[in-house]
Amino acid sequence: MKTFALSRSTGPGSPDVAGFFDPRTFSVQYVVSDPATSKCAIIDPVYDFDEKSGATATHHADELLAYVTEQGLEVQWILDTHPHADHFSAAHYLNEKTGATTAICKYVTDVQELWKGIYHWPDFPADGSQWDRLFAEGDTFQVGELEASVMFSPGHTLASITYVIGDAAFVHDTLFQPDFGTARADFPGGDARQLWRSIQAILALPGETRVFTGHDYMPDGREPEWESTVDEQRRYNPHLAGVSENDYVALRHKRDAGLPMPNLILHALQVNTRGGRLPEPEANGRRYLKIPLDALEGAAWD
Amino acid sequence: MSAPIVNHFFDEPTNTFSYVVQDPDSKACAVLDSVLDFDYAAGRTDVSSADEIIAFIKAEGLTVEWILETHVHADHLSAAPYLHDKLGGKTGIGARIIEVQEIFGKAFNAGTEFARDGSQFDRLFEEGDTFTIGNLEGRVLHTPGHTPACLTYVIGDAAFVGDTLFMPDYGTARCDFPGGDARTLYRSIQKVLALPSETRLFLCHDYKAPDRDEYLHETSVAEQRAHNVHVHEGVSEDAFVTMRTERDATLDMPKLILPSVQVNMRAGHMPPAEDNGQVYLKVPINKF
Repeated sequence: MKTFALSRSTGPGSPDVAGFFDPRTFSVQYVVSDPATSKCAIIDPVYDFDEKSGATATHHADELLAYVTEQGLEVQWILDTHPHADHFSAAHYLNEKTGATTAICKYVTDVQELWKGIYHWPDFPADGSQWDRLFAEGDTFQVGELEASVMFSPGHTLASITYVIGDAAFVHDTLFQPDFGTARADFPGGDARQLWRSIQAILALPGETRVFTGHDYMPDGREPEWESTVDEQRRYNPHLAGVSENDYVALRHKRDAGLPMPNLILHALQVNTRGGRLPEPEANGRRYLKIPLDALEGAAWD
Repeated sequence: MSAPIVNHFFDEPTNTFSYVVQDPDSKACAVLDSVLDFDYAAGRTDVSSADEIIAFIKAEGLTVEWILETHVHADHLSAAPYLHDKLGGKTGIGARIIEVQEIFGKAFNAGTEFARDGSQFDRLFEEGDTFTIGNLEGRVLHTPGHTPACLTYVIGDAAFVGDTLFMPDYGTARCDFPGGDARTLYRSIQKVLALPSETRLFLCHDYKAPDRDEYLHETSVAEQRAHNVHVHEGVSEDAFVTMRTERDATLDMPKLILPSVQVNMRAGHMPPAEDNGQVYLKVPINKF
């Protein structure tokens, strides 16, 4: 199975984009680098977790670090597109290894507030202080000499953002590959109409913009893929091409009603709302995740 | 020897067989190894499977005398408390549950409210103990190996073997959970195979097998002795231990082990709610 691909810079101001696929969670992680300065950003790194045994590992995060070392890169940013529900973020682990700046969407505080209640963490600071920087629509930053900007892209979660770095857009859970469709909008804080509008803003980027998605589910058993263009998405995405906003919302609601919760949602949010940190140990020195019973309404029975 | 009427209920998501074992001469029955449905991803419980058993018992006009567990299961949650509320009867499990409660009480850092003395059950059975279901006589074999507390319930001409033997074409239960031991399992299985050869054996699980596309739940001592792929007559203890240990090293943890054991060690009761009224299960990180 293909688990790595390098999409080369298309010229000055355009990044090299290395994609790393995690078959366990169908997630794509990126190392986005400036060929001119060898500075890079890591986007959506995965901290491995086996929910059956409760074991954690850093195979994927270490693979990213190995690539960074091999290529002689310097990690400047560790970015999450949103608080993920299907895998643990390795942001904290990578921050400890590299000292790079961590960032996420400023509305992560709303997600923190929501899950603070579900997990019953009365003392949890739902203030985003777990990250170095909180981004809002229109914010800009640099990766080396590359210009990067932030689009607020809610709908899948209420704190989803798209990072546009040079001619590459990291859209995570908005658009998937043009042969698959779009992200679900039924998690707490999700909204199908908002997702449609967020997607329209992405599709308004230049047609040749490289689009890098956050997941691939390998429809019909094809090899994993994660790169497309805005133009391809406009023309071929089955949820979007020739579909009106109202039709999309209806389609999304119908489809989401049949989807079970992702395996790790109850595990993952308590790590990812903490910036990728595991919960504090109990008095016996061991850390425990908490699984609230009967707290999520409305999901299809798995 | 009297022959109980045995009805089975299959839970496909966890491959588990529950049983209603009935005295043919009265309306008395026992329920063995019931299942509480659980959607781990959503953290949701449901009683559909248990309600099927309740509907059957009501339709037949049966009286539940016992709600029994062969062991603390690691692959499904027990519905014993729910059935007990709805149907009455006494709950029972192996006396060595206190060892299992000690192991997992520690692993889950359960509070002091969690008694590690088996007091969550009405009766703790030891090897050789007897009990009755109406006029039927039940007898207990302690059959550890899969867990330290595993029992086989011999009721009339039927034996409920829990996780010791599976269908002859599938083999035997794994022994790699905390407190499990392959050599111990071999010896337990010999006890089961020493029962009269026509004894009906009822299994706790079936996973189909190569060349078999239907689920089966019943076999006999004679069939197991002749055909069990892991422990047919002639397989030595050492050969079994080698095979079992090698095989166990290749097996994934069961999907529901962490939720199951912390509920089943409490006789199927959920952990106490936090002060917001919400119940949480716990997932120990990097313990298993």
